[in-house]
Amino acid sequence: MEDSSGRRRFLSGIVVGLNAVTGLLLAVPALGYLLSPLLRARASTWVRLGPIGSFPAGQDTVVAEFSVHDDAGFTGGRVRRRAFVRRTDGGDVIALSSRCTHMGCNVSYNAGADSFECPCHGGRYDLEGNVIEGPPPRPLDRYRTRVAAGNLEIET
Amino acid sequence: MRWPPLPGALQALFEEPLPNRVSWAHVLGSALLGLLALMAVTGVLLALGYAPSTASAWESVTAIEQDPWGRLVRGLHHWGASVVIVLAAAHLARVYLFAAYRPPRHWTWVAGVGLLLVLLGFGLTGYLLPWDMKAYFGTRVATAIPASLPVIGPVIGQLIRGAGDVGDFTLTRFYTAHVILLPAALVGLVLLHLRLVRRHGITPPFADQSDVVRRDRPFFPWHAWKDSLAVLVAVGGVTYLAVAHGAPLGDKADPSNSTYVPRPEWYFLGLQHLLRIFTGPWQILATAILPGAAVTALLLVPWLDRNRRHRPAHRPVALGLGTLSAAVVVGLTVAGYRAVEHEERQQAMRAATPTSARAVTQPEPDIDLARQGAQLYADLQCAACHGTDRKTSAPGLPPDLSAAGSRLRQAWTASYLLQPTPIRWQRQDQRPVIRMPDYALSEEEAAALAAHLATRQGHMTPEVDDDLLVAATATEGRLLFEQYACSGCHVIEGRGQRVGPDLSRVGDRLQREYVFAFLQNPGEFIPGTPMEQVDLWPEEAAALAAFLATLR
Repeated sequence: MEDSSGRRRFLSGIVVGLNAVTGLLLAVPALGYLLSPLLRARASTWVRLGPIGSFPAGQDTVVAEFSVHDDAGFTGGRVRRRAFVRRTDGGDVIALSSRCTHMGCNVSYNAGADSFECPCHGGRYDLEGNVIEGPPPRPLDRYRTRVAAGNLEIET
Repeated sequence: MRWPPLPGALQALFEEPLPNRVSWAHVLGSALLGLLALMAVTGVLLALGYAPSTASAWESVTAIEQDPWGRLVRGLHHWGASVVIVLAAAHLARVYLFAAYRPPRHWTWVAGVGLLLVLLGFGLTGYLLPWDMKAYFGTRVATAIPASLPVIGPVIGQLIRGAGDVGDFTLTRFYTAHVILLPAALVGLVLLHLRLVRRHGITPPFADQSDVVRRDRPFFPWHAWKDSLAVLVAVGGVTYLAVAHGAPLGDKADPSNSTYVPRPEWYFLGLQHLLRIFTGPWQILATAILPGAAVTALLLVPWLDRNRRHRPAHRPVALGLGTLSAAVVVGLTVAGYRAVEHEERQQAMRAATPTSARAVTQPEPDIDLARQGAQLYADLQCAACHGTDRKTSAPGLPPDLSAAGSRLRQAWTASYLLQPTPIRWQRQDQRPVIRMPDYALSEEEAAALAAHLATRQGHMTPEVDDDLLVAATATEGRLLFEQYACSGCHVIEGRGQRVGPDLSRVGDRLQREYVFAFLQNPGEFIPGTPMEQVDLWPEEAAALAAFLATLR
């Protein structure tokens, strides 16, 4: 009876161990696949906006449209984006993202008021992208810029 | 160590005393159940990234494959499907061998056969989902089988496909069946099967009614450890296959392809081979009568086998018929496999055979031949249209041939000169922009002219990054071709808009290096070209060039 009880306990442990290994074999790929979006790094690319001459220094903000590869989808197409570009009197380029830093809505350029306005929750930014009004927690994001072969490019 | 109390039903299952002779032969059902769990888990995971549409199914599966974990999950699902069929067949054979289908277990058998059919249904519907060449043409054949039945066939075919041919409607139907209808049927049948197994108990091997069967050990842990080990071996085996071999994914389905050899999943190869054996008026034997008779016979086994004995020596007829049936199924499957292999080899040989219009490599021009060609070029006054004083080509004008050698493939040039056919078309009325006159050249003259043109490297010699060209894949290029909507201006095998040149045989016509350079800056090679300047990365241009090079 003692032997049988000991063997039963041993076999019970074997059952638990075998099933734990099986569970692990299933769980590792399942968790790996579920969590893999967290590990997906987005490669930055330089996008051409146009000849630098089309962005005259000291003039109004230019709304520049460009397209980038859609890395949020599997069809791999291109999506349109918008940047607000202005060259200061000194010739420095300021390229602002059109995405509101509050909840990600697209802001629009109000040339009359020299500001960017978010239609969702009333956020407003000045031409430098600083918050003037509303809930945005920080200024509009700025793109890195460079001039290559006479063209203005931003890093997206 | 004390285990926490189990729910009532589970407790009863764990404590059920099993016949002492129940052994390793009885673990197949549990291993099958374990793999079905694996299939359910991996199926749900795959559904997170899959899009059931002909425009996106292949792309979504490609995206899953690009994620190492996704590749593993897909591999598990792919190999799990095959091992499930093997285990289900082995389980069925074991039950048949032990005569475990005898009353009162006859409905357990029927539920089991039903389960096997549902599993085959999973295989059939899941096969289409990746929407690659194999999926498309395999399903085209599979759905053509019921559609070929007399009278009701066309209606059945239409209902299964949801349209006249395999397409979006078929994909959404098969997807719905694969993830909703068949899983519901599977769960129902598994529960019924298990309930019946519990009610009637396990049949001990080869025990006649007169035998005394001892039942003094409960399922847990005396048999449970064997079941657990079997499940682990099955899951481990599938994991090994998934890691070592992954799951295949071919090129995206191209319904216009006329050279692809349909290859169904291996467990349907036998059924497909019947179609090779029975043709013409006998085809109905392969499509309906024989498969239908086999399934009916399998379902009716408990009623057909009147023998009450269990020991194999006392059941020569049943075991003989069973062995013969298994041999027929295996034989048909092997024959079907060999027939597909043979046809694929034939197809590959046909594709590799050079023809006058198919150049495999760009040969070095023959200098003597090129000299003859230069003389002919002058005699025929080719320069009147393709004058070298005009350094570039332009839309609507005969092309500049000063760089023909770095652009055109010599074999194509020779074949074109023998029978000039329009390449570019008017945008409005779709008539050829320009016509090259047919000079009724002999093969020698055409070869000489082609050799001369091959020596003309001109000023437009493309700059090429060899590493990029080597790394580029045609599969990626095909994807890019669709992403950039190139078919909005170019025709391939009759599909697309006839605005720019027909690209159906562009791989024969243009050199890959030229295409690579041209795509990155069309205006440099053909000033004023209506070809849209697309912001391509060099890797994209290389992939597109690789794809276009396959169009022959």
